[in-house]
Amino acid sequence: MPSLIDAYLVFRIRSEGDRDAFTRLYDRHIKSIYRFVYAKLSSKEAVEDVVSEVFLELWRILSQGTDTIQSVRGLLFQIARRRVIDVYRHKARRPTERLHDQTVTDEGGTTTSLYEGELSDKGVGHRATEHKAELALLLRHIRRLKEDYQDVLLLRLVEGLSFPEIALAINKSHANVRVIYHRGLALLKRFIDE
Amino acid sequence: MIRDPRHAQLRQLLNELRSVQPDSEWVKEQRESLLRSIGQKTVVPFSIGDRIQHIFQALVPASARSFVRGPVAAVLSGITILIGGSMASVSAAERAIPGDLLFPVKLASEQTRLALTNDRTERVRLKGEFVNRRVDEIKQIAQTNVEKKPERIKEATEILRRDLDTVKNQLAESAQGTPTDRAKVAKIVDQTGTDVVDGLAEARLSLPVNADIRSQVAEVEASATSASFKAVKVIIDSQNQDPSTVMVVSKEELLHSINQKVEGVSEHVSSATQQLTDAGILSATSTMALSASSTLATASSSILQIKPEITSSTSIATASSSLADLVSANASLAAARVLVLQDRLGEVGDKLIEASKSAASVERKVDELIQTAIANASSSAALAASASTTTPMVSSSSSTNVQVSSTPATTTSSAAGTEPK
Repeated sequence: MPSLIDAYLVFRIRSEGDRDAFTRLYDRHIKSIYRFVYAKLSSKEAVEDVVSEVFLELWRILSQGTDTIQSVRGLLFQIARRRVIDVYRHKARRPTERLHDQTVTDEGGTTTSLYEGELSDKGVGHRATEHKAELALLLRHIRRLKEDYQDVLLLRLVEGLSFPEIALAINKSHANVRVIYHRGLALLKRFIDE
Repeated sequence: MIRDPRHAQLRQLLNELRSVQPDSEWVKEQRESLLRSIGQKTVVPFSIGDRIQHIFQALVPASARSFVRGPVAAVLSGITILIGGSMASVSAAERAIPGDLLFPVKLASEQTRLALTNDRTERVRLKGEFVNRRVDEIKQIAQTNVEKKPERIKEATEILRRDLDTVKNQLAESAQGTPTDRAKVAKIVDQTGTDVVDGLAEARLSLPVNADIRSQVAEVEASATSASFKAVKVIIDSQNQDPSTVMVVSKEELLHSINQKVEGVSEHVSSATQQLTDAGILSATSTMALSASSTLATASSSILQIKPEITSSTSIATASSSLADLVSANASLAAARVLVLQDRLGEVGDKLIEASKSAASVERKVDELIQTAIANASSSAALAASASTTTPMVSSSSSTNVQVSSTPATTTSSAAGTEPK
């Protein structure tokens, strides 16, 4: 849903090129975007690269575009998804270089996770180290799902987006998002049961 | 209500993921690096007056600005002044939840935005977003460590109920418009209602186990469900009046929406059945018979098995009545499915509402029976009951010749809602 603050900050960026306003947008959303990308990539370097690209693209869209922004969050996740898919495609073309999360992308852009391996703990940067085992478990389960299912569940259950925002982020209809959500949740619960 | 242990594990795992954060040094470096990348531009400092004007311009469509006079403009300025006009304060108001000091400011700013919106469909859409905010607030109260949870939830559900009433009024008022406009409004109302039901189901995973809270949430859920059903009826009417409204809501979308509702009610009925079984009122073998039979007549006393321990006449009456409700719920649900197959979509809603009401009645009666059982037992017996494995529901013996429930009694204890929270 359009947040008052976000709407105001977008207005400032568009009308004045206000970098302070952009910094505030960054501060408001950085953790959320980082968490989402982390759930999908887990390699620290890849996560950091993608996240910075996401905000750069946000600036480009806001400072140069004129379309109404319904939801900055929705837009950010839309950009993040695209960037993550680019990473998958890039890695798929170079099979000798493996991602920690081992994903396969088909030509239609649908990515399936064949999750093997562990969370990356290279260097500092992730503060969840003391709960790594539980987190690794959840991510393992989530990554067994199809791309769209992963994203809908993450956006709904972790980031708390509304269905309309999720629909915007993944470019599907509201009804479709709800179906994916219910099916995904049922699958996830079954995985946990196993 | 029985807590599904998988829910607890899933909730815990999600909490772990929510706690993931980037390193703060990295965040700072990134911010600086981004600022370098986006180039140099002078920042023009702005006054509070400028801020009010900018917010106004950002949020109010140009067409509406000339209409803004007197009270509305005063409210907008008043709110901004009241909260000091700083971004931090506006942000705090936006994050407020029921029971917080700034929550009325949040509500007031929503009212202002609604007042400034002239287009009917846009107003319904905006109201739908605010309704979803109420659900998010309830989830937040449920999932975080705030004080006075029961009071906050009570306030939150009351406001949500009021907001849902507003949405239903908006739906009714749309009757003045064209079929296409009606369909647009109805589509939003249907989606809002379903989102609310889903959101409350999620919130319930984390809510304290408390009969009052449960009935408050159930009531507002019923209101959201009825809003959705009303909206579906309006969509069907609009399509009958003007077939071109399928551009707004296609036949497939409509059918999909109805099927979702049927499944939703079916889950509700299953859950009510499970509660009867877990509370030891219904034996496990009976539940299968019940879901197969759809009239009370066929579900004779040889099928409906009540635990022998329920001996007080009031309890027996309540238990029997809950079984009757369950049979009725199954019958209405079966009828709804038939109506869908027969493409009599306009009639499905009423049957589903009947089924929902019956299922809710079952849940209420289970609560009553459990509370009666707790009241009758001594407190030490209640403590012993939660630890022991052979607990009668009501402490008296009976030689009634009925089948003993095969459900283990430990589930009875947890259904009693005695777990501390």
